[in-house]
Parts: sequence; C-alpha cells; structure tokens
Amino acid sequence: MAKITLDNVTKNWGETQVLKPMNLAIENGEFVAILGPSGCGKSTTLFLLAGLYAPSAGEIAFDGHNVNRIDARDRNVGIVFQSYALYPNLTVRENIAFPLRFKTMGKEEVVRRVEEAANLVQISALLDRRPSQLSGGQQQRVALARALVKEPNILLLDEPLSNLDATLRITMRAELKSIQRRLGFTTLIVTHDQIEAITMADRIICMNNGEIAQIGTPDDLYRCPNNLFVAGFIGTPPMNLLKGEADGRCLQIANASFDLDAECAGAVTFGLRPEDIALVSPEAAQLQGEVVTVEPMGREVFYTIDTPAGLIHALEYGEAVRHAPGAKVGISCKSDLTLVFDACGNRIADLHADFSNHAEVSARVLEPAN
Amino acid sequence: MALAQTNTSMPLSASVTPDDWARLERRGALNRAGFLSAIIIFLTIVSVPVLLPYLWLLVKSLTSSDSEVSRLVLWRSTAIAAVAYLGAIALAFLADRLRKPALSWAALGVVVVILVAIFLAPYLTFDNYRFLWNRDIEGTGTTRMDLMPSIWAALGSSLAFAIAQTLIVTIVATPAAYALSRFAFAGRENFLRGLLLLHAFPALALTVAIFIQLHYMGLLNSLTGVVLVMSALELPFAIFVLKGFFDNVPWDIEMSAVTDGATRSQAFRMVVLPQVRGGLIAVATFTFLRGWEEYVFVQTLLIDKSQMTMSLYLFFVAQDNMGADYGMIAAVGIVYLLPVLILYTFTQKYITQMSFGGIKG
Repeated sequence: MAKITLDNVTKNWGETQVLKPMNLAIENGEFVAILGPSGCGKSTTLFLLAGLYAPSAGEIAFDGHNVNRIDARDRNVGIVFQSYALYPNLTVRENIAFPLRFKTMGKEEVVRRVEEAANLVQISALLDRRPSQLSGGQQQRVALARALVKEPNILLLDEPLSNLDATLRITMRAELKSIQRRLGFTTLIVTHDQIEAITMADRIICMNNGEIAQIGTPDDLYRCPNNLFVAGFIGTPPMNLLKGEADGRCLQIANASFDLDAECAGAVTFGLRPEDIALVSPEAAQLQGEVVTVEPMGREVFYTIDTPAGLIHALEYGEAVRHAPGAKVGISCKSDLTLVFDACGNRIADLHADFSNHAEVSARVLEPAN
Repeated sequence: MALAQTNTSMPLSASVTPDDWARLERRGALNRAGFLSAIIIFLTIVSVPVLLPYLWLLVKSLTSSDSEVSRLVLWRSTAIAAVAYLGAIALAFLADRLRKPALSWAALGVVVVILVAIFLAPYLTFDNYRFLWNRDIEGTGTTRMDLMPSIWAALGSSLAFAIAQTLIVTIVATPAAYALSRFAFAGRENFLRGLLLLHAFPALALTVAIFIQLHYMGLLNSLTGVVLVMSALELPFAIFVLKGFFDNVPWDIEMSAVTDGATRSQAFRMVVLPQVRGGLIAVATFTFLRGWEEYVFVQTLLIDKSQMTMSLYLFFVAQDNMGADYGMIAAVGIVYLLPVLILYTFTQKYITQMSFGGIKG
C-alpha cells in the first residue's frame, strides 16, 4: 500500500513523445481510473509505474521514495494484464503461487496465502486446472488472485474487463470494487470504457494524446468538464456541442440567440447534455428542429434532431415515444448547468447560457419583426 | 440469361411436389457418392507410387536375390497389399451397417496373414540381414572385410553424429532466436534477412571451401569437423523456425513474470521456454534427421572412411564389383529407416504444430 507521485514524468519512443510531462499524486488506498481513447498513453503510464518501462525524464515515487532505479521485479507491484497473461504451462495453483517463489517464505505460508487469494476471488474449486481449461471470467479471477497474493504496494489493472462479456463485466466491476474496498490497496485501473471508470473509481484521470485532460471525481468530470475533450468523451450518448458566436451577453447559435450570464466575446462552443434537453413545441423555443430518428431504449427514448445548429441528441425518460420522425420540435433546457467553451476548447468558468426562459426569449426575438 | 435463371428456379419457389423433393434427394445422394469415390480413387492413384517403394523395400530385404523368385515375391506382395487395401475400404464403407465391425477387421487381418503365409512365407529369408551379426558379408573372407566396418559401428557413428549436431544446433539456436524475437538491436532486420539468404544458399557450392578450411583446422577426416560444418549449415533454418515460436509467446506473459519478481533469465526459463517446448522438439527432430540422412558432406570430408556413418555404409554395400546384392542393400535400407520411424512416432505431434507455429494459451 503506497502513495504514488509522478513528477514531470515523460516517455519518448524514439522521436515521438507518447507521454507529455505528467504530474500526479495518488493517495494511499485510492481507487483511480485512467480513462482515455486508445493510444493516449494510459497503458504506458501503467507500465511506467510497474517499472516495465523506464521514464525518459521525471521522477516516480512510491511513498516519497524515488523508484526510477528500482527494477520491476523489486517494486512489488501487482498487475493484471488485458490478456491476463497466465502461465499456460502451470496449473492455477502454481500460477497464483508464482510470485511467492521469489520471496523467502515457508511452504505452509505459501499454501495459506494461495488458498486465501483463491477464496477471495472464488476460484478455490479450480486450483488444479490449467488456464486453458478456464473460461475468460475465471482466467481473469486467477490473474487477479496472482496479483493480490503478493500483497502488492500498488495494484495495476490494464483493461481487465474488456475481454469479458457484458453481464460478466457488470459482476466483475462490482466485485473488483468491493475487493479493493476490503483490502485497501492503492489501485489504478486503465480503461477506455467510461462506464467502468465512472462506476468503480474514486477519481478519474482523463487522458488524451499523452496528456492529462482532467483529474477529478466522476461527478466533476461529468458535470464540469474542463475542456471539450472531456466534455465529448464522458457520457453516453455524448454531450451535444454546438458552435456559436458570443458577443457581450448574447450567444448566437445558428439562427437562435441566448442570454449569457457574463460578458464574453468570440467563437465559442456550447455544451448541453442530451438528458438536459426538454423537447417542447416549436413556438416555445428559440432553436427548432425536425426529429430524424427515434430509438426507444426501454427506460428512455433517444431522439436525433436535425437543427440549423447541426444534429442534436436528446434523451427523454419514460418509455412513451412522444415525437415521431419528421415532427417539428423546439429545443429547450431543463438545467441551468449548460457549459460554454472558448475557441481553444477550454471551459469558461462560471459562464452559462440561459436556455430555459424560452418564452421571454422568443418574445424578444419577435419584437424586431413588429 | 437472367430470364433463364428465374425459369429454372421457379419450381422450387412456386410449387414443389413430393416427387421433386425425392428427385432432389436422390441427386444429392448421387453427388455425395460421386464426390467420395472420386476422392478415394484420386488419393489411391497418388499414394501408390509413394507407398509401394516402402513395401517393396521391406519385401526385397526379406527375399533372396534370385531375380525369378524376387519378381514373383514382389508382385505377390503387391497383390496381397491390394486385397488388404480394398478389403479395408469395403469395411470402412460398411462400418455403419456391420453389427460387429471389430470382428470384421480381425477377419480381414486373418485373411491377409493367411495369404502371406501361403504365398509369401516359403520364399522369405532373413539371410540378407546377416550383416547384423557377421562382418564377413561375402562369406568368403575377402580383403573387403578389412575395409568393411560393422553395421553397429556405423549406426553408432551416425547416432553420435546426429545427436551432436542436434545438441549444438538447439543450444545455439534457442538464445539466438529469443534475442531476435525479443530484443531491438541495430542490424536486427539485416540479420534476419541474412538468415533467410543463408538458408536459401546452396550449401553444396561451399564444399571445396569447407574442405580447405577443415584441412587447415586439422578437422578433416574427423566426425567432429563434419558435425561442426553441418551444425553451421542447419543453424539459420533452426533459428528462423524457433524465432516464430518465440514470437508467439505473448510479451505480457514475460512481463507478468518480471513484475511477479522473476529476473529476465528466470522468466525465460520458467515461463517462456516451457511454451516453446513443442518448437524445440520439432527443430531438434528435424536437425537430427538432417544429420542422420547426411551423405554428401560425410562422403567428402571423411576421406579414408575409418569412421563410417549409415549413409556411407549403405553406399559401401551397394558398391560391389561382384554385382550388387540388392537384397542386402534393401536390408541395410530397412535398418537405416527404422530409427527415423521410431523417432517420428514420438515427435510427430510436435512436428505438426510447426505448420501453424502455435502455442495454445
């Protein structure tokens, strides 16, 4: 169990810098997810921590001790690979006991710890099988037991759930989280699946292009994304991002204009979560559109609406389909947490556009015509 | 064209009478039977020239060299083999309908044994194998006897030769293949290309140069020299094949061992090596067989033939100014063949792995 700090850590492969200077502090016992699209450097970060890669610059420290010069084998890191990386020539028991071979430990102690780890992940009945005789989910449990048996300083999970089927993934998600809670290992999980990150982690490190885009609690990332990348990456279906022009306290999106609660100027992007959209009658809203597709999803209905500002996605709760394809609808907002991003893609703090007082707005818009 | 197609497909889609279905069923059965018989006939025709020499070699080694008798026995044995083959095919076809297939197979076996006993047994003799216990193969005590080593010495030399070559090649090729598969170093690509080129290179073209080289190294006329030459020639292929096996061992597994506390060499020994076991056995088998069958380099580099391998022994037996004793040549051939057959039965399951170079996780 350890506190991890990264101080300006970078990694280059030849000429390309896959990891830009990275600063990070992970508390003892914390469950942190590294989230990002493939190729963003999240697995590289993990392997740097494990000691499988050496950083090109910067310092990695466990509990304040620089571990840059400590070999992977001496870092006492438990790692579960995406492929599980079980040793096919060994039985499950031998697989789990493998890390203990390199520690001075009595035979009974080894047996006890293997049984304990196997019990923890519920594979006690499979100890004498070979990895090839196990299902994907069972192999994953063995890999986890093998990582836990050495009581690691940190537990690293590299996309551990991506090879499991959907139902098993949900079970394992809950199980991993409860095991982590119980044992209290500092845990890092690498994933490209935001649901995994949001459901399991205390904090999420969202990465893009070898850089940290944002660090925060799942709720922070969902509600207050710092930039367009996080805004677009977190949430399914993704946030609607509409291009607009700000001038003073007025925001112009296509042919509609909205009030801003602070001064702003220039090209901006306006972000609105699908579930925050209220579909109203066309007259009652500034921005109108035509329903293109309707996807009932059981608990909610997913609409795609063609508007002058581009395609907008909206979620409505309740299983009833209220708008048919081809219907004209007005787009309004249920929440006042709309987000505005500047031309560089960074969120403008404390700036919101007012979508909700549509009646007033439309009245004002009508005025010039009179 | 399009019109004709729609016409023919009409009966199927519109109204299919029970008669039509019966007709289609018959046609399907006919097609299957035709396909099966075509396959069997084709395979039989192709196999006969491949397999017949083995039968004839065996029969020839067991008959006296009298040409009349020999011809008679050859054709009789062929006829019996044909009977056995046709019987086996018939039984395979009828297997579903027979109540006790095992009994029928036993009956076929008995019939073949009886045929052999009646038509072949009277002519068979072990006389051709007399070299196994008697060095004086001519039975006359000629000068050739001084030159002629015992077959056991030849077998021993061949075995030592092939085993030494196998050991050298696998011991050198394993780390080389691992390094080529795992490490990035300058010139790796060129090294691989060079390996392929070396393998494609006709080694016989080097004979003269190798001869001179061995002469200066003082290894001419010694089995050690030939072993070294052959190992060098076999290495590129072995390295290349083994590299394929190492490539198939996932990087993750090795890294997992390292994070589990193993050193790189422990990881190699405990995790990687067991996974390429099949590849090692396959490569070792191939290298052994190459050494076992080697003739040209042994013939060239062992000038005074004091250390004779089996290939040289076979050639020696065949060269007889009194006229070749074909029965005995065949018998030597059988003895030469047997170790290969035994080796193959034990290692064939690893050799078949080589084609897909696979390791199952």
